[in-house]
Amino acid sequence: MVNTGVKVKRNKHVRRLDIATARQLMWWKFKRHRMALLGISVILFFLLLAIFAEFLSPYAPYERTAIYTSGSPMGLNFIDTDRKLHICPFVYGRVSKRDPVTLRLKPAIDTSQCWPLRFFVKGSSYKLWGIFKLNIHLFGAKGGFIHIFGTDKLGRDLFSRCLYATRTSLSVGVIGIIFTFFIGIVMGGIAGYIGGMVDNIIMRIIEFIRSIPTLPLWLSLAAALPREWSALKVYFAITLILSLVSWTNLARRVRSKLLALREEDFVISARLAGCKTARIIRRHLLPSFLSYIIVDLTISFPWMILGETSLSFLGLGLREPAVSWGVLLFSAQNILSIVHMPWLLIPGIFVIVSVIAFNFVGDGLRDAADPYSK
Amino acid sequence: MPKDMLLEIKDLEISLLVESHMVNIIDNVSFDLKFGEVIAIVGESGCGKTVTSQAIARLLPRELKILSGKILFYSKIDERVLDVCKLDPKGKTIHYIRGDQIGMIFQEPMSSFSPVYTIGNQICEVIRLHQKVSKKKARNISIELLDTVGIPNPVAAVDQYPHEFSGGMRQRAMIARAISCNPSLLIADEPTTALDVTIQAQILVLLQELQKEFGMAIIFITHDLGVVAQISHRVFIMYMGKIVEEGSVHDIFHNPKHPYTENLIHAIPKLGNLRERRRLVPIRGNVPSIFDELHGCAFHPRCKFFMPDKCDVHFPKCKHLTSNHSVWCYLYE
Amino acid sequence: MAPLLEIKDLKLYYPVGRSGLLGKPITTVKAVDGVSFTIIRGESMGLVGESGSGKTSLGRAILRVVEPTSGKVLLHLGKKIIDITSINHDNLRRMWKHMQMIFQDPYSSLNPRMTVRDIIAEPMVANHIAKGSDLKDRVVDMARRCGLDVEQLSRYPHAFSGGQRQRIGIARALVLHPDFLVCDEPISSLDVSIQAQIMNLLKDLQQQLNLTYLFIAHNLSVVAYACDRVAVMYLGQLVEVAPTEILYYKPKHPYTESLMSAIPAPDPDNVMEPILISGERPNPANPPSGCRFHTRCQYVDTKCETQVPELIEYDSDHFIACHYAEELQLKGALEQPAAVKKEHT
Repeated sequence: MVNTGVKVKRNKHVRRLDIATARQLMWWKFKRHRMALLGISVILFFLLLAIFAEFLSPYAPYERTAIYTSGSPMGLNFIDTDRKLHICPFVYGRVSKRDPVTLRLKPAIDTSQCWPLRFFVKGSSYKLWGIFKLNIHLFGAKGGFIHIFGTDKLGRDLFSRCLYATRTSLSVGVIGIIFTFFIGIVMGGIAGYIGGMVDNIIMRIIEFIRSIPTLPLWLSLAAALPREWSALKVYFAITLILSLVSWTNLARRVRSKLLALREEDFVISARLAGCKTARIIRRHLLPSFLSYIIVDLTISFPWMILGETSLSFLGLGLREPAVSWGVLLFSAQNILSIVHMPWLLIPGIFVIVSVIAFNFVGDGLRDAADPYSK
Repeated sequence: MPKDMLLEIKDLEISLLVESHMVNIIDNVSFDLKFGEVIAIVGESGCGKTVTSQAIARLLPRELKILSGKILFYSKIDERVLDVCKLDPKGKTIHYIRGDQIGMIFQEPMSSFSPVYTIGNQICEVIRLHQKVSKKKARNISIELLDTVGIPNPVAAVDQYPHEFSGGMRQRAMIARAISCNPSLLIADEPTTALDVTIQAQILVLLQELQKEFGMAIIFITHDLGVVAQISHRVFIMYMGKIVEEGSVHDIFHNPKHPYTENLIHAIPKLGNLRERRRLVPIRGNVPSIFDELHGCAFHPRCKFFMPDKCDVHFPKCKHLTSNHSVWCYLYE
Repeated sequence: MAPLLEIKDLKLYYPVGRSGLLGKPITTVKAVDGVSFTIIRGESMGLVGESGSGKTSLGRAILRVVEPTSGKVLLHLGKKIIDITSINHDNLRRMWKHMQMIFQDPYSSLNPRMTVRDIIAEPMVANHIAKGSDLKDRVVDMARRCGLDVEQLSRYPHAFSGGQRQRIGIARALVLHPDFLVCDEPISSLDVSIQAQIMNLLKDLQQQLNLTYLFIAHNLSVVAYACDRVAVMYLGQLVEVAPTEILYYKPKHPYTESLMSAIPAPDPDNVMEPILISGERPNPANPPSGCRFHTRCQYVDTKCETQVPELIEYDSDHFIACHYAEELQLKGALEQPAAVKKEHT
C-alpha cells in the first residue's frame, strides 16, 4: 500500500548504528573517550592488585625486617660496580651502620653484596582469599630482602602494605557504594513515585543532612565509635557512616529522573498499553535511568575513598592493625618523618591516581549514559 | 554586473566533517539577490537551507567547512564588493557586515537573547557597536525601534527582560534588533515556525511592512509553502544540498516544473476544495539523511519520473525555461 | 449517528507554585475549564487552538492519562455506557484497549531501548492477549498495515526517520484494535513531504478499522483536511464547534474568524488580510471575566466583559459561545470555493 520508492543504500557506518542495541551504542560512545579508557585500565589494574595482594606482595603486611627499619626504597640494578651486566636485575645488600653523629643504627648500602631478583619464590605462607593455602610470592630477593617502596619505622615492607591497603580502601568504596545505592534508590524512588507529602518530607530530610558540614559530621560519628571495637567492626561502621552522608545525592538524582521519566511520552504510552506499575518500572523506567545511576556512583566512588582516607588520616577511621591508604598516610603525618622518610607518602600517589582514574571514567560514562543524544 | 545586485552566491560548497571523512552538505549552490527583493529558500529538514544562510553571515558551526565558491556581498555604503568566503570569520570586516549590513532573525527567539540583560540593553549594544552614538541616543533609538515593530508601550518594554515577553513579542524584539542598523539584507530563518497561526500572521505582516518601509532584501528560510506564497517574490527549492528549481513565486506555485516542487505543492492541504474531500498526494519514500549514498539527482528514489541510468548517475544541468525560471531535471533536457 | 464519547463539563486544573515548607498550591491553572461535547462513532473530530489553550490537556484528560479535576467522560460500547472518570484503575487499564493515543514527538514516544517488534507487541503482552507465533503474526500484520518494512522490525527506534517512527507509534496504538484514537499533533514534527503520507495512512486506517479520531493540531489546514467536525478551543474552553466546512467558510465566533483569516494560503494570488487580534493571550491561571476572548475581540461590548457566554447550538450541529453569534457577519478562510465566496458578497 505504501510505495517506498527505489531502495537507498545507506552509508556503512550508519547501517551499523541502525541495528545496534543500547549497550553497544554506549560502548561505542564510551570508547571515544581516551582518558576514560585509560581510567578504566588503571582501575582494573588496581583491582588486580587488590585481589591478588597476598601473591603480588613479597611480604605479609606485618612481617618485619628488623635490620632494615626506616629503610629507603631499594632500586633495581642491572649493572654492578664492576661494570658487569646481570641478566636478572638485583638489589644491593644492606647493612646496619652506626651513624657517626647520632650514634644511631642506620641502614646503608653494601655494594659488595648483590641480591638477585627471583620470581615465584617461597615466602611467608598465606591463605589466598581465605581458601588456598600457599606460600608462593610473585617475587623476592635471593639471599636477602627486597623493599622496593622502602620500609616504615618498624621495618615493614611498604610495597606489600600498599597492596593490602588498596584492597581495604577499594572495598570500603565498594561496600559504601552498595549501601549508598540501596538507601539512595529506595528513598529517591519512594519520593519520586509516591510524591506529595512523603516526597516533601524526604526532600527536607535530605536538605537537612546536606546542610551539615561533612567533615565535622564524619568526625563526630566516627569519634562516637567505641574504642574497643574490632578492626572489622570499625571497618563496617566507617563505610556505613560514609554512605549515610552520600546517599542524599543519589536519592535526589533518582527522584528527579523518575519525575522526569514519568512524564515522558513513552511511559504514558506504556500505561495506555495496559502495563501495570511493576512492568512500567521494570521495562521502561529502570533501563532508562540505570545508566545515570551508574555514572553517579562512579563519580561518588572517589568521595568514598577520600572520605575513608581523610578519616583514617585523622586517626578516627580505620586503625592499626587494619591497613588502608589512610592508615598508611597516618604514619606520614609529622614533618620529621616526611623529611627523613619521604617514601611514606607513596600511598598518597595511590589515592590520587585512583581518584583521577575514577573521575575520568565518570566523565566517559556520563557521555555514554544517554546513547541517543547526538 | 547589474547595478542593483546585493548578494551573489557562486558555486558554494560546504562539507560536514564526520570522524575524519567529509560529507557534502551544500553542493554547487548559486543564486543572487537584488536590493529590496524577498526570496524564499524552501526545503525539508537537512536540505541545507539553514546552512546556506549561516554561510552568508559566516556563522557556520565549527564542523562545517566552506570548501569552495564565492559569496559576493555588494556593500551599499562604500560600493565595495566583498567575498564573504575569504573573510576571517572572527575578523573586523565580517563583524561590520553582520549587524550593520546583514540582520538575522531565528526560529527560537528565547535562545537568541541573553536572559540576564534587558531587551533595551541588548538592542543598544548592537546600535553602539555599529554607530557612534551616546548611550542615551541609543536608548531612544531602541524605543523607536520597539515602537516600529509594534510592541505596545515601548518605553516600559525597553527595560524588560526577555522572559517577561511572550513568544510573539520576543520575535518582534528580535526583529527590532536585527533592523537596528538599517541593514540591506535580513536573513529570517524559520522566524514563524514556533509561533501560533495568529501570531505568525502578525509577524508576516510586520515583515512586509518593514520591507516596504526600509527597502531591505529578505532571505526567508522556511518549509511552510503557505508562508512562502504570501511573502516572497522569488523562490528557491532545495533538496539535499542542491537547488532543484528557482523561479518567481507565481512560476513555482502555478507552473512548477521539477517533480519535487510539484509533489510538494500537491502534498499540502488546501482549503479551497474542502467539499470534495480529496486525498492528499504524498511523496513516496523518506526524506534522505546526509549519510545516504545518493548519486545523481538526490530525489530520484522518490521521483515518479525516475529514469534509470540517467537520474542516478549525474546531477542534471541547469535548464533555463524563462529568464528567471530554471530547473535542474532531465525531464527538460 | 451514535455517539462514541460524551464529554460533560470536564475540568482539569493544575496546581502552580507552593507556599511554605510543606505548603499548599498558590494558584491553579485552569487548563481545561468546563468542556462539553460529543464525539460520534466513526468521525474525525478536530480540536484546534493556540499553544497553551489546553487542547493537549483535554485530549489527555479524556483518556484519563491525567486525572481530570471534575466532569464526566462517557464511553459508549455497544449498549454499555462506561464513565471513564469514575472506574477504578484496573478497569481503566482494561478500557484503554478501546482508547489509544498517538503522540506529537515520534522521538520521545518510543522507548529507545526496545526493538520495534517489542514496542508494537507490548500492548498485547501487557494485556495477555496474544503469545508466541500468534503475537508475532499480529505484530507483522499491523506493521505492514502501517507501511513499515517488516524486515526491519528487530531494529531500534533510533534507526528510523521521523515519519517511520510515527508509523511505529500508530502501529502500537492500533494493535489492540481500539475504537477511539486521540491524535495529538501527529504530523506537526514531520517534514512536509512526509505529512501527507501519515495523513493518508490515518485516513486509510480509519476506514479499514472503523476508528474514531480526536485530531488535535495547531495547523488549521491539516485539521480541515483530516476532520469532519472541528472544535475551537480558547483558554481552556470551547468557543465554537461545527462541521469543518461551515467552521472554515462561515465561522460565527470572532476568535475562529481571526484564526481562519491568519491561515497563509499556498497561493500567491490569494493575498492574506489577517484580522490581527490585539493584545497578548491572557494568563490561564487568571482568565478574564465574562467571555474569555473579550480582551482581544474587535466586536467587544460591555455585556462581554461581565456575562459568560454559553456554548449553544445555534444551527444544527453548530455550537457557538458568543453573545452576538447571530448578529455578527464574519469572514471565513482566505481560500474558498468560488461559490461560497459569491454567497458572501
